[in-house]
Amino acid sequence: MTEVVNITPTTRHEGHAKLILEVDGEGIVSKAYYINTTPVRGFETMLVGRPAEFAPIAVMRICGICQTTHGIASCSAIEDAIGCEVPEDGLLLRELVGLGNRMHSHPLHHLLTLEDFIKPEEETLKIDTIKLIQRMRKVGQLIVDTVGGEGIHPPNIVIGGMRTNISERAKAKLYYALKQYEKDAYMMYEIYVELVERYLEEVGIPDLGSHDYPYIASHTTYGDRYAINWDGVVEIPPHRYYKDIKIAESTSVMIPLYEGVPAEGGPRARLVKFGNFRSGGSVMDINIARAKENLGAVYRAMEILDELDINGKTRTTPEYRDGFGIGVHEAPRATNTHFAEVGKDGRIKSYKIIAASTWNFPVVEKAIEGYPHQYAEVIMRAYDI
Amino acid sequence: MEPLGSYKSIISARATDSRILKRSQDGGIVSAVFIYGLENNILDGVIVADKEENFKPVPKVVTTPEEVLEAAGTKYTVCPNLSVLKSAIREYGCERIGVVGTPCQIISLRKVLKYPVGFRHLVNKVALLLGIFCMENFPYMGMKTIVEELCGVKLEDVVKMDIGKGKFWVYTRWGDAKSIKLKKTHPYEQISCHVCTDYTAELADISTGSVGSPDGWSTVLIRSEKGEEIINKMIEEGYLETKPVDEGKFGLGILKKLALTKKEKNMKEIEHRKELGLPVPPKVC
Repeated sequence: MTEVVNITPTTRHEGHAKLILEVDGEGIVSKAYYINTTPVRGFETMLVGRPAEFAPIAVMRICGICQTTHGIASCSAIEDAIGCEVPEDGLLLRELVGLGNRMHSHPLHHLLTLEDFIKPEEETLKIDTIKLIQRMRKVGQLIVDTVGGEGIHPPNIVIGGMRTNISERAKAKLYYALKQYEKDAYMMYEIYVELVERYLEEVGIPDLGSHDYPYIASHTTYGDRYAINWDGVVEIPPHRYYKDIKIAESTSVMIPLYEGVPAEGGPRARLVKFGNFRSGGSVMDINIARAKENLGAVYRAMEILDELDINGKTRTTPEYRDGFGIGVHEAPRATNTHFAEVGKDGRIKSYKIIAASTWNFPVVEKAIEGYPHQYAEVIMRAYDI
Repeated sequence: MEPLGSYKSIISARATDSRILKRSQDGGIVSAVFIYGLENNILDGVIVADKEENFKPVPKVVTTPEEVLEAAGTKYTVCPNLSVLKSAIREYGCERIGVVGTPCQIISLRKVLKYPVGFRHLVNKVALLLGIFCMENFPYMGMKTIVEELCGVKLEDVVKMDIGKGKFWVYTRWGDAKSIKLKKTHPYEQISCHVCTDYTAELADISTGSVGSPDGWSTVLIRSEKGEEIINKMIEEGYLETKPVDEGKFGLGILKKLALTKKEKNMKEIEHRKELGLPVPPKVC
């Protein structure tokens, strides 16, 4: 006998959504629907006919947490469309501001999932971990503040590069902050591996939330439009993806598919594609991969500071011409993809976004299916959308 | 009405460094304080009004004494200094910034520090506020018209502008000095200046200007403990030479008179605008 379990709204994740689960007699989810309830805001339509410079400013407002990645993806889509080359130091700073955002977003995500793994009696561990998380987030935000010009919706990310370079003083400040972050990230990783392993042991399902769908990732720390087969990317209306029309009409996302099937993006996908991380394991692996990525981010950020010439040029003035371009940035949660068509008058002709988290919507459903319904939210939280 | 706002002490002073005096408007107080601050780690960045070609003012965050010197001198046109406040603490990574501004900019900055909406992390990083005396200011095109049309000097030839003895003076790089009566410049003032009642930057830590002191000297109003501390140290260490301010008609007398004139004249304008139902600034000073 099938029973329907509704979790509405889902909690402790970024975004607004609900879960509709069809559960069989043994409490196992036979079919899961992860419905996005964020209202349609129409960024893609809003941009048509507007000056290209407005695009990154506007699309950053899609999200209050991973705004940086939208700015970067938007600029690089437009630069690709008009054939604009960003100076080397501009690219370094852009990568750095993106990493700063990741270095704050990942720990924030640990904060949201912490409650799933920690026990009520472990008050001290909980408080210490939260303090650790906040200290890490401060460093991430300091980078975005300094390089991006503002911690939220950084205005320095502009078409053609970065609006300005950073001073020697600022560079030194970032270096010392990164040194602290390095220590903290190791601590965080150890805490998380332990918590997640203990959790899986206690649950007794070592492969909780595993799925056999492919991964999508273009780069470890920045984004590479040439690493993805764009002919294999489609975004279909939910009406074609879900059999149930009511479900299709209730979600506000389109369904992105890679080579015809849903694909997982994010920390695990990146580490599997570019490292030797375990693929196909429990969805809890994503939480560990995320903690691991903090380390990758801090080392790359230090390297960027070494490579950066603070007197170098960071921006070229864009010259508009007709064209179409793709911008890709590896956001904290998945591969953020922007597609822009620009006219020679410098205005947007058409614009399309597959936001990072959107990739994971159909994957969340697949990961939940086949496992006891009471873990559905924990599985969803591993993706944080 | 207290014409000068509240202050701890008032002196006449000038910088001892000849490099400063060579470039400064009067006694070089602003440059000297900033340079002293930067050299002694009291400040690690300062916001100044620099100029580009044709006296075009540009607000800048600077971190070295050389850059402060480069920006010395009054510009007689509006320079949006506060627009780079956030840059100072973001891209420049400064922790103790000094800001120089006209009275209106000092009021705005105090307000920002009190209600830092949109200015995250700024409040504890502003270390010193230097105010300059200001009767009114000119928009860039107004200043350009005064210099080029009324004085007949090309802007690119100008090395210094000054207001003194009831006249607006323009000095050229060819050694000429042209002047017109100050009265003639009134039509080119910013109209927003006509509702300002603050002549001596009453909310600054230190306010300074030429009025009340002999040529080449500046009058310095020390208003806060912070301001007092830095000025005392500078005097002790020989960065400034001082003398008591002239209490007479051509010293403190004229300073008070001008400050009062600005208050009374502009209060009238405020009342007038109120009668017309126009918006007026809230009472701050």
